[in-house]
Amino acid sequence: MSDQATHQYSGHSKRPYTRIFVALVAVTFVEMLLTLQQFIPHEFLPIPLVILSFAKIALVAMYYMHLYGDNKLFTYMFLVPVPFVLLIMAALIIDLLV
Amino acid sequence: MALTLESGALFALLAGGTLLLTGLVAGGIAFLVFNLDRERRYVDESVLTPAAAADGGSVALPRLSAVSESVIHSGVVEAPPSLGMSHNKLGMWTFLSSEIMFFTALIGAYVAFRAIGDLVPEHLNVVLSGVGTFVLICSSFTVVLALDAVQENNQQNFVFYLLGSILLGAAFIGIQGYEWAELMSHGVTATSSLFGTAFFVMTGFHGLHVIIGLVWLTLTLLRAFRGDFTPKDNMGVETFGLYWHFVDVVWIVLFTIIYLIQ
Repeated sequence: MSDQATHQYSGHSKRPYTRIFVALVAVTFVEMLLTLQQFIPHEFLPIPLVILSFAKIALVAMYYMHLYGDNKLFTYMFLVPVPFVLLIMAALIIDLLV
Repeated sequence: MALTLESGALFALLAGGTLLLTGLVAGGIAFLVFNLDRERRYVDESVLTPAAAADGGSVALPRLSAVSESVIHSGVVEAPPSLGMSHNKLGMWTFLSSEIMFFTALIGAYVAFRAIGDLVPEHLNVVLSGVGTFVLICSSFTVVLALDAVQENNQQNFVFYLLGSILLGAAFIGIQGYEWAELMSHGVTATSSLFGTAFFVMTGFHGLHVIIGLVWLTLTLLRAFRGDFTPKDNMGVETFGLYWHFVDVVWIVLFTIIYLIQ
C-alpha cells in the first residue's frame, strides 16, 4: 500500500474533510441531545452513546489519520492494544467482585 | 480478595504500571524495527568498495540513482525506507500504539469501577464539555486542512490553519481549566473521592497531551514561517497531525464515558 495516502484527495481535497467534520459535529450534537433530553431510558442510554462514539473514532481514524487507504500495518497497530485492555478490564472487574 | 480503593491509590498504581509497561513495549518494538532496518540498508558497503569505483562507478551509479530525491538533503544520502513506509510515520504509530494502551487502561479501570458502583460522577458540566468537544473537533479539522494546504503548496492557508489550530487548542485548555476550577469549588479534588482521582488523572493526562501538542504545533508554525514544508516534504506536518487526531480520539472516548454516560 502507498505511504502517500494523504495525497489521494489532491485537487478536490477539502470535500471529504469537510463532510467528516460536519458528521462529527452532528454526531456530537445528537449525543448531547440524547443525554440532556433523556429520550431513551437511562439504563439503555450507554448503548447508543457507545455506538456513536465508536462511529466518531472510526471517522477520525480513517479519514483524518488516513488509515483508509494507507498501509494496513498502521491499522493493526491501532487495534492490537485493545484486546489487552479488555483483558485488564475483565481481570479488574473479576478481582473487585470476588 | 477485593482491593481497597479509599484513596484511589490503585488507580494511580495502574496508571504508573501501565506507563512503565507501555514504555517497555514501545522501546522493544522500536529496537526490533530499527535493528531490522539497519540490516536492510539500501546503500550498503559493497556499493562503495574500491572494486566498484574501479568499475567506473557502473555499479554504484545505478544504485544511487535509484535513491529518491526526497531522501537527499544537504548532500547526505540517506537510505530509503526499507519497510516500504516512512520511518517517521512508523515511529509515530508505534508511539501512538503505546499511548492507546496507556489511555485505554485508564479508561478500562474507570469503566470497571463504574460497573461495580464504586465510582459516582459528581457536578459535571455536560454543556461546557460539549463546547470543549466541539472546539477540539474544530482543531482536528483545521490541522487536516493545514496538511491539505501545504500539499497544495498554499503556504498562506497553511499558516492560517496552523494558527487557527493553536487558538482552538488553547481554547480547549481554557475550557478544561475552567471546569477544573468549577469542580474544585464544589469540593471535588484529586483526593476527595475515587471519582475525583479518576477524573483528574484522565483529563489531566489528556490535557498534558494537548499542551505538548500545542508546543509542537507552535514549533511547526515557526518552521512553516521559515518555509520548511513543501508539497513534497511535509512529513513533519503529517506526523504532528497523527498525534493531534489521536488526542482528539482520546477525548471523544473520555467525553462519552465521563460526561455522557452518568
